[in-house]
Amino acid sequence: MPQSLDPLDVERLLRRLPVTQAPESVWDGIQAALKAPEVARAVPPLKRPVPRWLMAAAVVLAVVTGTLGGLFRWYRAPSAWAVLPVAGRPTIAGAALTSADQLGAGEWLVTDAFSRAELSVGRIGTAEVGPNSRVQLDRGGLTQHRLTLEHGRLQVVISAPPRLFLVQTPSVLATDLGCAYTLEVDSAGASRLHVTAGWVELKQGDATSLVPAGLVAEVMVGERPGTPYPPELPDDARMALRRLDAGTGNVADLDVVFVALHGPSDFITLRRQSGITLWHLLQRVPPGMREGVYQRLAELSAPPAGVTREGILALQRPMLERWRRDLSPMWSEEAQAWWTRVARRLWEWTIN
Amino acid sequence: MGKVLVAEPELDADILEGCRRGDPRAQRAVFERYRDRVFSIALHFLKGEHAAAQDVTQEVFVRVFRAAPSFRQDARLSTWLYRIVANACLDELRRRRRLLLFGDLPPTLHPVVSAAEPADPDAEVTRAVSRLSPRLRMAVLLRYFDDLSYHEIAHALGVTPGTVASRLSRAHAILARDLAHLRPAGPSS
Repeated sequence: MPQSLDPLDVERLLRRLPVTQAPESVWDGIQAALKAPEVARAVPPLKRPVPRWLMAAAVVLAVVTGTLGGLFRWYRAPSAWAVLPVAGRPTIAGAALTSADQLGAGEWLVTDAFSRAELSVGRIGTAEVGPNSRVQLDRGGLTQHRLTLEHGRLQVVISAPPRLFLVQTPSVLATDLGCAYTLEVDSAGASRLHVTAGWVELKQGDATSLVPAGLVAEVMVGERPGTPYPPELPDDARMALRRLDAGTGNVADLDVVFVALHGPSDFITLRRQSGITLWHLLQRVPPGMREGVYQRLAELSAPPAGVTREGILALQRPMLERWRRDLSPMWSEEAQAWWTRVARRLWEWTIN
Repeated sequence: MGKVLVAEPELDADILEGCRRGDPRAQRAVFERYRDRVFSIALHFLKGEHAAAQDVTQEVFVRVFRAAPSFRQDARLSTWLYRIVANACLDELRRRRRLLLFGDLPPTLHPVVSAAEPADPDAEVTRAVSRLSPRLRMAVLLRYFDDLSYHEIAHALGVTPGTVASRLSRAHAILARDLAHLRPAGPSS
């Protein structure tokens, strides 16, 4: 294989590049072109260069629009949901379900004591309909997947951004915040929620409860959503909590709850999770009892900077929310990264 | 075989002034001074397409004469002219690529030298230059047809002198490899 040419030889050869004489006709062409009227020239208009910041902004806008568009397409709620009988003979609109079928908007899926069915919640998860249940597919928004659970049980697993899956019961609206849970409705319409992963929001009128993983909340028809509590809570404490939620509780009820949550207990998890219970109780008990709840919560975890006793006792929403966020690592498996919180806020803002 | 050009002094002020006024005799003088260099650069850049090189040459001088009234006296005409040459050549290349995309042009261009011709060092060099990428090719042509400095080439191409040095260095390396068989015979070391 020959060696490369010496750089000086390359230069020498390049300087011998042949020059070719331009034809005389070029001059004639130049003269003709110069004599042609200016308007006859097909000169494209001068293009003003697009500023880089504008191009960057356009790219960012395109990416954001494309991403949101893609998310909306991906999470779009189907008009009919796939249903699979799991046991027995569930029915849709009175017709027995023997194989995979579809549940259309407005149709009822009914199971008897021996039957169960699995609903595909679009692309975001599944909802198993337990025995003795009556479920209707509702028309939601563009991305809202919505069911009505008249009675019975739903076991839900959702893997999606928050607020895409909602279940309406006679007593409450349960909104998925990215989670797994079981929701039961008895014959009187009372609801009982047990969250096993993530969070669920319970809303009735203006009242809201936020139920994290591991906790239970109950709602009676016509009442505000109950305070979330650990399922290990003794019966007397649960009854006391129910009275406090209903506004009929007294100091003795509060003491029963305190003892159950903070007394000598082997339930470390119960103590850890009691923060969210106390946080809800702050907003449910009458002003005269609020100080006691504040003290208990402050013993569990001191209020963060900027949160004052007076602000909490006055139920100032920003301070309550700040304290809740500060407490959340106590009942969440791990604190959310900042970008997860930002993405979550952005998503919630987008769909609301 | 064509002639080899050497660097020439700039045109005198009277000719430039005549050009600014649109005097055909002054325009002719400018044309005579640069016609062969411009045509040769276009011809080599467009891989021997005579008709296209003629069009580019005509376009270059028309642009120069039309814009002459705005030409500053303290600037070198050649530097300005070669900027127009470079732009016109690249425009033509883009236009031809678009046409090729739609099948309006024959798929092969005529090389300056046919591959069947016997090995002639000048023809080999021409062919090797025509195989360079357009950016490297234009830098080489401006450097060796009018002995432009790195700064003048940079001005013509709208890049930095460092970029010109880099392009010429890469072009030299490629040509040194492609033209290795033209290595002069001598005692082996």
